[in-house]
Amino acid sequence: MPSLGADMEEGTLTEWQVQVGDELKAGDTIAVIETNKGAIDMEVFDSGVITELCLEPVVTVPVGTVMATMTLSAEAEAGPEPKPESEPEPEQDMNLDHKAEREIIGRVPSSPAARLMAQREHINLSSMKGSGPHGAVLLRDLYLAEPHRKSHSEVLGLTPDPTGSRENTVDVGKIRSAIARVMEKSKREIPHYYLTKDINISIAQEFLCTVNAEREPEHRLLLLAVLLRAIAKVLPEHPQMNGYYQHGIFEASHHAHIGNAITLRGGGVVVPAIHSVEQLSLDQTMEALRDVIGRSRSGHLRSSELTDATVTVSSIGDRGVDTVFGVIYPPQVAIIGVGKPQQKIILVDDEITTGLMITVTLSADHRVSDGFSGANFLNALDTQLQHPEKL
Amino acid sequence: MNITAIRKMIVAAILEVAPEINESEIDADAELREQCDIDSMDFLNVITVLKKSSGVSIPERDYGNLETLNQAIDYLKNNMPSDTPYSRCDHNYTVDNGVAKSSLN
Repeated sequence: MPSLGADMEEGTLTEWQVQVGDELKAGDTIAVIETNKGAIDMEVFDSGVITELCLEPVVTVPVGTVMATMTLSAEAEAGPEPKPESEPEPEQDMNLDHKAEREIIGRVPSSPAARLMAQREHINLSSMKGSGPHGAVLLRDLYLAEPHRKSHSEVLGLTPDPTGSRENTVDVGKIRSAIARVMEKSKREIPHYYLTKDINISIAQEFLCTVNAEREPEHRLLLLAVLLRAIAKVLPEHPQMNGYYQHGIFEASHHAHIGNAITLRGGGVVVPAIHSVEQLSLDQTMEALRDVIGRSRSGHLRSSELTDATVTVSSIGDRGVDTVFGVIYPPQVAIIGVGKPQQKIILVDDEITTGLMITVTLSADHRVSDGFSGANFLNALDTQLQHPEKL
Repeated sequence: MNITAIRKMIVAAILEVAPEINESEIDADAELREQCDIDSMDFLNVITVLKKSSGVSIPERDYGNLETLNQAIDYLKNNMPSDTPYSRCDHNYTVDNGVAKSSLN
């Protein structure tokens, strides 16, 4: 079960889309998993052949649980061990060897998923008979032993519909607590600093009006697309705003995978990324935005979209607030908040005039950058937005 | 097309974008975007759906004339072709901006 963000602890396999023996390319969808972010299409990150499907849908398992095994194409000739296609989460004691495992849980071998479940549900594993290798207790043994027990998903308030007729059935309380966990982590660990800049977007707005006047609604552009493109164009010059800070090391990204904070109807927020915005045209960015917002609300975001954003943009200013001070989504190092566009009286060359203004806020990680570089970023963004035709 | 049918069409477009909205709770004279929690992408989607269902491609400059449900009904009533039967497949029909402006301002 892949981790689709620091706020995810488990997921529910609702459907396999492959069978044993299927040949896959990296990026192929193999399963639908229900998470606190809705129904997600799970992708593989390598090419190869599926050798085993270890779980039967519908089942909820912790992040790190092996769901399937596959033989990788590059290794197929050498005949290696099948490799789990999802990496275990280091935080969850998944790296214990068998010996240590036996000691910790009283000489009963068990899967990490079963241990976690046993711990949560106060089940004594030593009294259980396991059906796994060397008698290891597996998650399914826990369910078999106590069939009256609520399913894990019921316990957690995550209630996928096995018929699949309602794709995005998620519990709002569950989403809330997931957001709480990751935001706590962010505020606990990341020394945020904040800079704001009022940017005159009259020229950008005029550009949009001209372009959109010629277009049918389905091809019109939104200001957000212009902002995303401008940010993507500026980021390469400001690498300290784009990348991951992990284990004390910052790694800048060569791509602008921009996460967009999207409010879900009924509560909660998802932050799917639009990939490599630096390589997209303005029209392609708008198309990608339309696509990702649609799928956020209807289901079928792809797992990669939820995991690899390198920077985030929050444009809830659209809902009427002047300034958005975002909380960084770890392990990212910056979030850019965009306030509501407002017609304001401004002074240009000693002349009183009006302009359409937005307040752009940069929340950045002080472990990685300083206010000076943050200010440079905001100024560069301002300059870029004065030339929308170059986007 | 009568007002009831136009209203139905607009509500259907809103519900397609915001399915959790209860039609009976829409105040026809209050701002639509606020009460239906519609952001700019949602609004663009409503306009796109309306183009398909009504044949009227509402230009961006007229968005301000569609702030409430009643305004939207008036707008479509004044801009939909009245005497020729409209075909759902006709995507080429666009509203004459001049007409739209003069009828509303």
